[in-house]
Amino acid sequence: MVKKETPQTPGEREDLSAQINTLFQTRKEAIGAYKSAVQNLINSVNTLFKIDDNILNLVIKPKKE
Amino acid sequence: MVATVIILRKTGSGPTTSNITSINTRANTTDIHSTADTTAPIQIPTDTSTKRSFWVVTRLQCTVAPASLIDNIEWYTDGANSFGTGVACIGQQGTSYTQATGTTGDTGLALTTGNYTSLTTDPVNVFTFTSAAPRTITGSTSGTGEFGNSFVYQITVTSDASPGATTQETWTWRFDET
Repeated sequence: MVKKETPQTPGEREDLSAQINTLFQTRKEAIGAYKSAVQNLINSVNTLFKIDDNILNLVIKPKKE
Repeated sequence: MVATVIILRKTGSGPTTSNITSINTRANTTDIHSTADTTAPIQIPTDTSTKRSFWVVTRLQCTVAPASLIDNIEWYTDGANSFGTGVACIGQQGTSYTQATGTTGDTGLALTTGNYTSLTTDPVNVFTFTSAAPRTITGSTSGTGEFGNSFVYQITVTSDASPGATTQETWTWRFDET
């Protein structure tokens, strides 16, 4: 517990400062803000396809006489 | 200080590393990184066989160290294959680098535990890895440099695919930073 009285001497002020730092650190660890952050990184991928030697079959009908 | 982490694609015998964070990389039948290569497409088979891209090796690199630790690395997709009919993608984590090979302009060597011996297990359909069920990637770091296992993947195609470029699929790496 932090003292509520106004510190009167340099020693008392240092003591109060240390107590506040301890409480602040405990609070940060309790809420997890100090512990971990999740990061995401992305990239994309695609490709290219080809067809070689395409053959189109054409049917040529004989001309009617 | 907040860490800076990037995604690398590793190619060649060196290997060469390319920063592919937030950009596209093309999985063609060549072992280079490009965003839109047109010189080495995958040949669509005319029979019941399967043709493949050269496999793509990706890994994280930390360029600014975290205050304490980066761990809990995960890799995942959106869960839906939007590459198109006849196109699939398989992948798995690997503990070391093996250079991709195959026949340029035709097909890559199949991604298997036999050909890429450091894969931790057989490659599977990458779209089974989602934000809710990601692939856990072994590794952590408290400094700079490459870290964690690689994630290796390969695109496969069968005769019912269409020529041309596919749509782009987005992959995500997720990790905790302390």
